[in-house]
Amino acid sequence: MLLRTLLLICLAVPACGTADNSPPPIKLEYPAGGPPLNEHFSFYVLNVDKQDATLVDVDADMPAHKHGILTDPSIELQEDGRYRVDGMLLHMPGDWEIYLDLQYANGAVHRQTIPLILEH
Amino acid sequence: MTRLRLAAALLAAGACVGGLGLNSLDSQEPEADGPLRFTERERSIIQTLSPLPPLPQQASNRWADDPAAARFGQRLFYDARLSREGDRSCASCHSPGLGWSDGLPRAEGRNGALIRNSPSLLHSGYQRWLFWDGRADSLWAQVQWPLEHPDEMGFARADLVRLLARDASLRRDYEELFGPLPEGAADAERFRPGGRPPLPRPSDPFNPAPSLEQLAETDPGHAAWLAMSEADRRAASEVLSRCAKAIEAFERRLVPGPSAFDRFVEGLREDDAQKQGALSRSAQRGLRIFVGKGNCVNCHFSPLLSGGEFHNIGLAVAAGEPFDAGRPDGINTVRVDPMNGRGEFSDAQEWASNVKLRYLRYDEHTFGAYKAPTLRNAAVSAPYMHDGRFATLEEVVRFYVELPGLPPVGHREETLLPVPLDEGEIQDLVAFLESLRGTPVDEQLRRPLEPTEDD
Ligand code: HEC
Ligand code: HEC
Repeated sequence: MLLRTLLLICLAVPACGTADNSPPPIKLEYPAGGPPLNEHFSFYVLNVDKQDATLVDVDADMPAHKHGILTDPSIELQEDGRYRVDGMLLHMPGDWEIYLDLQYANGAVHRQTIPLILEH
Repeated sequence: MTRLRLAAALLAAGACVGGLGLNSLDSQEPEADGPLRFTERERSIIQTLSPLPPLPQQASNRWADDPAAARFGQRLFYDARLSREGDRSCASCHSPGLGWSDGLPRAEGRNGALIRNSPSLLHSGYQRWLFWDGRADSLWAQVQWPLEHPDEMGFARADLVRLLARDASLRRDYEELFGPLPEGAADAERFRPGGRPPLPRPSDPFNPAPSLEQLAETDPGHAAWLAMSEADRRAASEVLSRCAKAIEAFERRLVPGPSAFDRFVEGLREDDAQKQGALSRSAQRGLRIFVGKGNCVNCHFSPLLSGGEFHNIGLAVAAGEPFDAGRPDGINTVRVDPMNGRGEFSDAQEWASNVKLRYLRYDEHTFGAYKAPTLRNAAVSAPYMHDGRFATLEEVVRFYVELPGLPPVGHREETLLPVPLDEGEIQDLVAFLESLRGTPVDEQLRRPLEPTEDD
């Protein structure tokens, strides 16, 4: 019924699991059961460090509505290199985009967009 | 033989097409009065709308589920002595007989109509934010607004302290719950008549909030407050916060029993056609619109039929009406409210666990946004919307069909498009909204609680 089982999303510039030496793609690790509808939740961002980047901002939008989230999530780097994001709230069902702003050594910030469909 | 059969088949097909033309929904139905056959997707969405779960925890109020606190709160709720002229109580604008509202487009205050509609208090214990703009983060933080606003009850926390001190029965109830009243509670030299602080108001360089000293020059209540000692001011605020927590305990009991819609969903789960019969076919068709082409569930979802957050649906302001920004004011105000969940009177002040306030974001996209109200029992609390502009549910539905006008501020959420419904469908959607009426709350809660005999 609910498509909340996606635990890991591969955000693959190169496809997941290819054997070249490009860094492993960034992944999001949502709580068990997937991102909840209209409840505050936390999640982890994996493999940012492997890209020589720092996660500087997390945001989200519903592009079709031209509006975003109603919270300002916080970001905390963990000892194991993962980033913990707290205070995310997706307040409506539908098509969302999660934005990760990564800052690279040269100072440039690049935005990675991760789509997410939130069911009822 | 073969030719005959072919003709019969063609005839049947013709009838079928005719049926489709008339009413495409009914053509899928097995029989005229059985339940509609919902698709898998419709069924799965419908099941997320019922039953109503238990009330959420309320960590900032230790007495939230205390029955004795609820009884005390009920006494206060109906007590007109909590107003400056002794002529109105909470129940004046939230009357049990009027759906715990007042039947007016905009509430009637001490100095004429207020700018907003009085919401029903049914299910208020489920709300994440209170008020149309969400400027209170709990039911107890909400109480200071009507109680002390000069346009509403015009009362003052210093007067509340003295009222409790002189009414033996109220005093006993209060002290049994919360311990002794502050020392000197009956003393008008200490708890000065009219003494109250200014209501929470954000301040910024462009729009600085006036100081208490400035306000005291024109408002005798603020002057009285200024003249009170720091300790007595704090004590008066604590008494108010506790009375407010008792009122919250009462309000949390205002949860109606199951509605026809809830019985229907039970039937849908159990495949029980009889239970599904609790909803008329018209209401079932309305339900299909609600979860389908009407897109109503985008904002009115979950068992409350509301996410309780804020949306700009683009209700244009009528000429001559005051400007009302909606949610941005609520965000800025709740943050500076001394009675909010992280303030000194909260029973759960840890910043870390208060996700609601901690991560709350100021966002200019919320201009013109108001809280999406629960649709449960909306049928009994007309008129509708933050300014009470629509007298009936049918008028509300017709608004969504046409989306007339433009919002005065901000922009209408872009996915909100006119919902093309014909006359029959409009009635169906209204019938569905009517079916969300639950059984009334306990009779005991619907009237003032008499003091017990030993008083
Ligand atoms: C003069 C009429 C009036 C009186 C008296 C009054 N209210 Fe209200 N109440 C309103 C109006 C109007 C609103 C909506 C105001 C807004 O959103 O800005 C409201 C909103 C509320 C809400 C928020 C409900 C929600 O779902 O957001 C609660 C709870 C409430 N009142 C409880 C009370 C209590 C408790 C008292 C007594 C201490 C009280 N009211 C006295 C008119 C009144
Ligand atoms: C984009 C979000 C959104 C969608 C979609 C939406 N609503 Fe609403 N609804 C709201 C908001 C916000 C309010 C309060 C607006 C205000 O007062 O300014 C509201 C108010 C209402 C009210 C008035 C309730 C009351 O107590 O005053 C009813 C009834 C209602 N909506 C029914 C519907 C129906 C039926 C649909 C589908 C046709 C629908 N809504 C679609 C957000 C939405």
